[in-house]
Amino acid sequence: MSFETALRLCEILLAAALIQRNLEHLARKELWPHLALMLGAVLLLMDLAAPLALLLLFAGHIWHLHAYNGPYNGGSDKMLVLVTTCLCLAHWLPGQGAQELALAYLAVQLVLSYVVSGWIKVKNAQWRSGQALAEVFSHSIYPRSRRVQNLHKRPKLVFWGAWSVMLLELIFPLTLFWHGALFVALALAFCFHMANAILFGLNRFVWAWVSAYPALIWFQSRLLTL
Amino acid sequence: MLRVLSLLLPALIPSWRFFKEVGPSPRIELRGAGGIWQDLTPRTGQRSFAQVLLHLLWNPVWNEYLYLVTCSERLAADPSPEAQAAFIARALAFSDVKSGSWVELRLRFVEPGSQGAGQAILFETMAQVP
Repeated sequence: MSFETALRLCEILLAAALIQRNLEHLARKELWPHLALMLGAVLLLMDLAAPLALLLLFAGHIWHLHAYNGPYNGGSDKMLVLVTTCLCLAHWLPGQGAQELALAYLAVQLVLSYVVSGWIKVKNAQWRSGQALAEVFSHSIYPRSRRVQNLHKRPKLVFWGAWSVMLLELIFPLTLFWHGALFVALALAFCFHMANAILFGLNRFVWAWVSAYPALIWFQSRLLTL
Repeated sequence: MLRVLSLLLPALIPSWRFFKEVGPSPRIELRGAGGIWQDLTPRTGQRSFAQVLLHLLWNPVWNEYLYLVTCSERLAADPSPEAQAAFIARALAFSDVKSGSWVELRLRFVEPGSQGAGQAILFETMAQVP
């Protein structure tokens, strides 16, 4: 995938993620900064003055962080800020090398988001035994329905679920070395985010993370041609 | 400038330490005068397939609840007047109690595996729904 294609795909997916997020806020009659972010997202989606739209989005994110005294939706907001900043730099930095570095940083952070998350889990004995995931179902605020809460009563399912997540997160960086393997890993990671959205209501994470995927696909092709 | 940096840096250099451990979990509860405490969690018994699909794209109530939980965790970490005001305003706006009513609002944290026994009430107040 070429740099230009990856950049454009990231822009489209970022715009879609931001439109989804800001429509939810606008429905709650929280007009600012969401109207400004919506304008930026629509301009970006339509490829109208994309560099300026990204600057508007960057300013809108700062306003958003200030308004909510930090992220509103935890990691998903952080990822959207990161994607916006990297795309902004990829447009505004002088020289192809610096622009590529900005997109590469996004790709590396995407890999780190999986591998760090996997590493801190696998170090924890409660995660390795499946107890931690059982407690996420039984005790945490996240389960979207009482039916999901009851999954803690199925210890084998929880144990293998925990290990599937940890293994996927830990082997994720290795898939950078094989073209097809990365696509399989991204498909599995997408399923993981969908499961989090369905089980725990973390729908914004799906669209935020997917918006960075083209950067990683480009990064791999760049890496393999070195 | 420092404030902007303190907000931006955790997003630009994230730690990505999701679900490191399952710690005490917040319960945000509300009741009318002398009534029974009601958990504000908008959790349903079961959702239809169509609802599950819809919530992938449109999930504002649950996301607002997650933000209310974030406000409760910020209040636990730093019980400043600003954090209290943000928590109260958000919790009252989230509840479906009639405007003008007086309610008791409380925040407690439940230890994992305690079945509600190992809990600490961190914050309790009377407030009028705007």
